[in-house]
Parts: sequence; structure tokens; C-alpha cells
Amino acid sequence: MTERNDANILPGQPTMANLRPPQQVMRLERMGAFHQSRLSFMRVLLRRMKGNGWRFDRPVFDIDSRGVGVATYRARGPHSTYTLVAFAHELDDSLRSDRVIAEAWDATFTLCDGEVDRAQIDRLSSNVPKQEAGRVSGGELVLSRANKSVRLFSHVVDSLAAGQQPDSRMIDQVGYLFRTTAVYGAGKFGAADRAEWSMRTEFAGSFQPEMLAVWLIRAFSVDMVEHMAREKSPSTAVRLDPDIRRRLGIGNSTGLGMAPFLINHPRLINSWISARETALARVRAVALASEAELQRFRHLARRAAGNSDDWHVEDERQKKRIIDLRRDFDWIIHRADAMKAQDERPWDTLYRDAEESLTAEGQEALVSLMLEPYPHLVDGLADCMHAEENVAQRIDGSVTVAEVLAALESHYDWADQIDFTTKAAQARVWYVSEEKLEPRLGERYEESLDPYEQPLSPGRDAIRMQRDLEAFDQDDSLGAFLLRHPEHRHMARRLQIVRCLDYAEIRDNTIGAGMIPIDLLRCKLSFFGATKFDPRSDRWLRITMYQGAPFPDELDRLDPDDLVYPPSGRTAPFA
Amino acid sequence: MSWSLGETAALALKATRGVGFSWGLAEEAAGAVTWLHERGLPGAAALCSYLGAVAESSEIGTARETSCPLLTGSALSDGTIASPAATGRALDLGRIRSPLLLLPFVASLPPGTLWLEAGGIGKESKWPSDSWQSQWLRGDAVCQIVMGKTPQIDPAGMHQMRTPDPFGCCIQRLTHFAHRTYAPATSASRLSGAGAGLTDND
Repeated sequence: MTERNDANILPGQPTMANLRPPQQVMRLERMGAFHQSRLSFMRVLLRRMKGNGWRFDRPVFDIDSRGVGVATYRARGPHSTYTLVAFAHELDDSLRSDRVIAEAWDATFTLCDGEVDRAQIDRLSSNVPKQEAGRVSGGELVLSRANKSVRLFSHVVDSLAAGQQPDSRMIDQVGYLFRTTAVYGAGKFGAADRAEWSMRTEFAGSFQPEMLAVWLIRAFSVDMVEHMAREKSPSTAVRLDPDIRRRLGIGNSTGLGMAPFLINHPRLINSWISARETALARVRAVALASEAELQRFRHLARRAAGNSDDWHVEDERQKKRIIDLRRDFDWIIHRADAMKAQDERPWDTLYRDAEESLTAEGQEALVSLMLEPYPHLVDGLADCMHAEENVAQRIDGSVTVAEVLAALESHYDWADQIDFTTKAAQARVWYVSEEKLEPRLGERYEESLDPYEQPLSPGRDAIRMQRDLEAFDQDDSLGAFLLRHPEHRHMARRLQIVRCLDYAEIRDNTIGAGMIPIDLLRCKLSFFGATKFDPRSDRWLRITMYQGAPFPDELDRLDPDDLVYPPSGRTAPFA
Repeated sequence: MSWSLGETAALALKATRGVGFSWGLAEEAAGAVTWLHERGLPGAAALCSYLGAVAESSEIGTARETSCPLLTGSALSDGTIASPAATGRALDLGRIRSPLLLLPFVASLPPGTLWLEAGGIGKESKWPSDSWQSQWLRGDAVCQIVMGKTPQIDPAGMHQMRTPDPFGCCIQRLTHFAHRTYAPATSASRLSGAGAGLTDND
């Protein structure tokens, strides 16, 4: 009789044994080190559209020699059609701002449900260019705008007009022709609510209409430079070489407006992080890796390392982290080369060793890479990355005060470690500014912001509720407590939501003096599939989306999952 | 012009907070307004009317809390006020302001067939009709919850996805209340609040 070996009994089968605990995962520093993966929403969208044979065309391109006009991009799938309507504007350089206070942009967009006709374009033309000051309807899914990278846009137009391809170093330095400064979906400014389209199979998961809009905006950005080059010099202009074109993504500037999202949507965040952690656990449970799987991993590790070598930022904190990451890739490549097909549970061993040897940035890059050779274990989880959320989810008021205290003790024990009586622990206030109706972060002890505070500090609020619960009759009901203390109703509801969900709550102080808001942004953007995170302060950052990805006219013959990584990888160790 | 229900809910949340309710009760208001509009009932108007009354009288609190549809609805939902389904008897709630806002809470109580009766509006009332509107939306009414045999609002009627144009005036007023949750901008907050100070152009 041989010794029982689960690895042999269940080769390659999922197990939950190795799910990383929320105490490890749900920390801001780690969430701020997440990287794109097979589960990122851009990749999910392109994989699905390729798999279902979506077709794309450009029914309207009515742009004049100054670069002003309208264009439409149509995406046709097995059951539905969507059309991006793009308005190109002339914008004075002095008005070009990525900040939400801007009132004019180089281009504005909306993604429409179905085909569009001239009447709809006319209606949209008097609203979409105004963005927040205009209105769209239930026939539109996304509202967005973008500004040019003036430097690269001009260079590419001039080069193409002269019959030459642009300088590839400059392309790689900037990475995009246009950067979006907002992509609004899910009912914002009159657009269709998520409930109106969430049942459509093409939009299973999260943010799929927004990802489709951005991908089509990227196609528009290239059409614009080629058009302007032709207008400038019809006889000599050439089109962008497809390999160079693919190196152009779409830039994006993201600020504090996005930061509260992760706190405001505990169910959704749980679904995203659960999917990623489950994928990791499944791969760690693989008993034996095939030579093909190992080869794939070694190959992509070198290409991902190349990506880190090309990642340049000014931000000192991120600069140091990138240098560490490059070194971490040396370790990953070295270990990958040493892995053998007969190694038992090779990924579990690799991951455990990585926890001892790599920075958080390196560990999370490794997690994303380990998922790559296993589409059959990972990709299906993408359909679970959504949640039905109800702002007024019913509170079970029948539980006793003692039971609520026990639940707090179990789920907010981390908040007990923070001394909220100190100024540093409550130094910040999340509020919404009257000026642009966007979330902002203020200094509690320097400005009079308390009356405007948003409920974005679950740790502090849990401790406050705990204090009042302790002074209440322990046998009384939560309902009775809330009748006396309606100020805790939000926190009581939140507790009942997160107590069943491991990855719903960030286990850190979100109003402390040391909190770095871009950690929140990066976590969300990594789930979108962004790369080249470039912090421009502690409160906003630039990213690139879809860099390397196929364009609509080549999706049918290229693999979008492969193209996420640069074609050529690192050939020599970094350190 | 119409508004998405998501927008309507977000506005209801902020407006309710804006007149002084806690965030948790504001969430109840947002849920109630959405529930009503999904069924073609004038939730935004009811909330607008109620918040207007609150803003004028600053009556939130314990003195007249039973007249608040949000506090009363929450207490019913939490089980703090025993449901007729548990006691087997009709439940008198006394006078409630803008009682339409109470309807979502009553309709959501198990087993789903409780009826809210208010101000002479009986079980046979047709929804929606002009006769009940003024009393249910504005002012107050003596309310009672009774057992019914079927849901008070036909579940098949739940198909509205938008808050339609006639509610523009309510949206405007709710927007006014919502503004009270926004902090006035200062030059310091302009600079530091969003982390500006670097050029956007490249």
C-alpha cells in the first residue's frame, strides 16, 4: 500500500487549502502592488470577443482637415451591436487639463447600445462634448473624454506625413496618443444602469462596456494620426506599421474620484479578489506541471521582466519598488529555469519561497505570471467577478448586541490595533467638493471638514460602534440599538455584509496620516488590466491601457492574452 | 429627460444625508425611492416632500420619531416593531409623514402580503390614482398595516428602469438638499484635495 498523496489523487484539481488569508491580502500596501492578470477586465473582454467572432467597422469618419468632426466605431457580436460615437474637437493647449475641473477636451465619446443614426448623433453632439454638464440617455452605456499627448501626437503625424514611421523610442516613452481623463458608466449622467445590460453574456463580469469603449477609443486615436498625416501631405503620407501601432495604448489619468470605490463596493471587491485568490490557489494545487506549462512560464517571465525594465517613473517610492521588482524578476527567472516537470506541487513551492525572498511587488507579479499557463483553471472565474449590490440591504435587527460585538471582534480585530484617539490616526477626511462634486481628501485638523465627512473609514466607524454597543444592554437587539443610535446604521449594515465575505474589507486605516491613496487606485486599475503605473503624486497616477493589444482589425488573427507582454523579453540579468 | 435609477438612488442618499439623517438612514431612503420608481410609483416626489418638511421643521430626532417614514420603516424592517405577520393582528402606526415612503418597508416584510393602509385608502385602491397622491406624498396620514392575501403592489408591474421627465422638479429640489453634503472649496483644498500642482500636458 502506498502512502496517500493528495497531489496524485487530484492532479491539477482546485483546492481551497492554499487561499491566502485576508489578513495578508487585504492590506493597502499589498493591494497597491497588484498587477494585471488573466482575470483583468480588458483581457476578459478581448478574449471573449475573439472567441465569439465579434466584427468591427467604422461606419462614419467625418473629420475635417483641422481634426474636427465625428466618427463611429461599430462592434457586432452574436447577439448585440454597440457603437462608439467619437467627437473630435479643436482645443487650445492652455485649456488642456486632465483634472476633473476641465471643461473642454481634445475628444469626447459615448458608447451606444446598438446602431446609431444621424438623429442620435445630432442629439449626442449637443451633450457628449459637455461631459458632466450634458446628459445622455438609457440608450448609451458609457460617457468618456480624452486629451492628446501633444508631444507624441505631433511627432507621429509629422513622421507619417513625411512617409516615415515614428521614433519607436518616443512611442515607448509615452505609450499613447490619447489619454482618457474619465470613463463614466453604470447609470452616470443619465446612461443606462448596470441592471439594464448586466444579463448580457458579453458583459459578464465587471466594467465590460467601459473596457470596450476604451479599446475603441484607442482605434480612434490611431485613425486620427493617420488622417491628420494624410491631410498634411496626401502624396507622401503612410500608415502606421502594425507592430509599431500595437505599442500604442491608451493613457489614463486617475485621481481621487476613483479611490472610494473599493470601500463603497465591498461585495464587488470581494468577488474580484476572491476570483484572483481562487485562481492562485488552484494553480498552487497543481500536482505536476507539464513541460509546455513550464516553458510558457519561463517565456512569459522574461517578457514580463522586460516590461519592468521599460517601466520608468519619477515618483521616488515607486521608483524604488520598480528597481526591487527588476531584481525580483532575476529570482523568478532563475527559479523558473530550474523547475522540472517531475517537481511535486511546483507552483506552491515557488510561491512559498517567493514569500520569503521577494518584495510585495515581486510576489504579486509572480502571482499574475503563475496564472498564465493555466487558462482552463483560471479564465472561467472571470464570470464570477461581479456582485448584486443593494444600498439598503436589509439589516437583521434580531441579533443581540452581544452577538454584534462578537462579530465586530472577529471581523474588525485589525481596527483594534489602531489608536483612533490619536490625531495621526484620524488625520484625513474624505469629503466631496462643492466645486466639482468629486471625492477629495482633506486634513481634518487644518480644515473644517468634519460635517462633510463621507462614510469611508470602516475601521474607525467599527470602533465607534463597538464603544456604544458595550454601553448598551447586551441582551437587547441590534434593532433596539439602532433605534437609539441611528448614526451606526451604516456600519451595522456593513458588518452584516462583510461578515460572510473574506475579501470585502480593506484591513487598514483609510483616514490615517500615512495612508497613500494611490494604493487604492492601483488595486482597482490592476483589475482593469492597466500597466505602467506612474504615480504623479500620492493622489493621482497615469497608467497605460491596452498597450500591445490587437486592434479591432487584427483581433481575429492575434492572441490578445499573449500580446499583454512585450514581444521581446529580458536577455541578461538585471542585477 | 430621464434619470437612471442609479442616479436617482445616489441623489436620494445624498439629499437625505443633506437634511441631517445618518448615512444608514439615508441608505434606507435611497432603497425606498428606487423600489418605488421600479414600480412606477413617485418615490422621488415622496422623498422630496418629506425632506422639505424636515428641512423646514428640523424635526429629526426622538420627539416625533414615529412620524418619520424612514425611522418607522427601518424599525419595521429591523423587527423592532413587531409585524402583523407575527402577532396576527393589524398594526397601528399612528400618524406618518409622506406615508408612500413607508410602503417599500411594509411590502418587503415577510411573507410579502402585508398591506399599508393610510388616510382612508383601502385595499381596493387602484395604483396609481390621483385620489391618494396628495395624502400619500405630502402631509401625513394615520397608518395601519394589515394582512392581505396578495402583494399590495403587483410584482408583475416591476419593470420601470428610469425616473421619468415629470420628476425634474423633484430632482432639482433633491439636488439642492444634496448640495449640503458638499464642502465649499477653498484655495488650499483646490490645491491639496486632489493632489494637483503638476502639469497635465506631455
